[in-house]
Amino acid sequence: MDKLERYLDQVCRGIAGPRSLRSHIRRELREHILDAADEYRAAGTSDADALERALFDFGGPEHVRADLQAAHGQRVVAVIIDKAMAWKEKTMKAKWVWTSWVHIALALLIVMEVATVVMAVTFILPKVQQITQDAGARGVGALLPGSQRFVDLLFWLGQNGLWLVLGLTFAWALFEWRVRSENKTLMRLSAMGTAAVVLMALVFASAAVSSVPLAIAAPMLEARDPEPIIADQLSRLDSSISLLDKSVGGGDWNQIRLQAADASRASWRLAHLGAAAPAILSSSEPQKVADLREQLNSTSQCLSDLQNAAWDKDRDRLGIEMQKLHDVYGHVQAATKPSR
Amino acid sequence: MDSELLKGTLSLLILSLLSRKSMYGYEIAATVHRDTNGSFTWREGSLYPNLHKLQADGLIVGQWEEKDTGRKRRYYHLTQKGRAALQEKVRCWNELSEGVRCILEKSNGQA
Repeated sequence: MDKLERYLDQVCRGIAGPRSLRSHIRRELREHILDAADEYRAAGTSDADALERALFDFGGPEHVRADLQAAHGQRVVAVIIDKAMAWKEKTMKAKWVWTSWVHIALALLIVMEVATVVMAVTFILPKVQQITQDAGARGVGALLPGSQRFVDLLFWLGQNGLWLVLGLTFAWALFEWRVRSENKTLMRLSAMGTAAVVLMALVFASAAVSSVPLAIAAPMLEARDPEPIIADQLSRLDSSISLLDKSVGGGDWNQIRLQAADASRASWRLAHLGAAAPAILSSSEPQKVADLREQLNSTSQCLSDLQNAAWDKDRDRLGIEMQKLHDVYGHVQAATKPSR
Repeated sequence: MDSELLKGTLSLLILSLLSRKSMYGYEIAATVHRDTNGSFTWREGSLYPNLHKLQADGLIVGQWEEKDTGRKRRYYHLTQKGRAALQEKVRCWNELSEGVRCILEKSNGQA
């Protein structure tokens, strides 16, 4: 009977119209073939031969299907499936093309995922940690419960990445060398697919621990009072200039350059932090704010020139720039006195 | 027999057989086989597209019926429209066969 059902499948599959129509035609054809087989059986033919002969008399499935399709129309899905099957038969000859393509696509996906995780560990997560700490939270873990352990795992992976890559390369080489199986290609593809899925999960989790705490920390950053930031930058500027004075006295060119750079950064930040200049001043008159910004920029410029003189180890220029710095910075000190 | 010739006359045969009594598909095929002493060789499967087409044209009506054997079969009945169509087809067939016969007779006389 399986043979009869297979035959009916082939005949009825492509007929257009509702499922009930196909089922009705199928039933009608089945009755006909069973009647014919019964008659052959009654004439003494064996069961198997009776069905075989009844099917033969009924006609080849492709002919009967074509006749029925001419009467009822052709089903679009069946046409697509037939075309797809024909295409599959044709393209199976080029199996190596498909296999190679899957290998390349999976390898590229894995490389991209690894690059994303490495980038997150090296550049993004440290920055996010810094920002969340600046916002007043104790790192990512304080803002997204449970995430700190994952961040630690990522940093661990970053530190031991080379060993992991070496281990995996060794395992892969062992697999290629030792495994002899007709399913080797499928095993390799399964391993690569699994690796791609695991890495994708890592990428999503990395994105989550990078973006969610940042989104939570952003309003906290906005809400911070400017005074503590300004106090911090002013004290940095003071201590850097004081250390710079000492370094100039000691003739330590390296220290001169380092302290000048540090002081330059602090003055630049003070000049460019939006709320900083008004907050430093006791009064918030626009002209005074603009003057202070100008003085801070001049301080930053002086420090930059001073750095250049230190690079050139030019004592005369260094002396002139130090004098200019003290003149300009004196004005800054005077203007910012109430904030200290 | 040339199956292409038979194909053109299949609807006439079906309507003619159904004018005797209501029949199901296998019964029609078996009657054709019996009445022609098996001289018509055709794919029995090609009967059904013709039956369905005649039904779609309203010349016959099919319905599932359970008769003495206890098996449900789809019996086809001739409609009024089918009876008229049969008369027209018989007339056409007679004209055609008469014409063909005349030509063949004259051709045989010359051969």
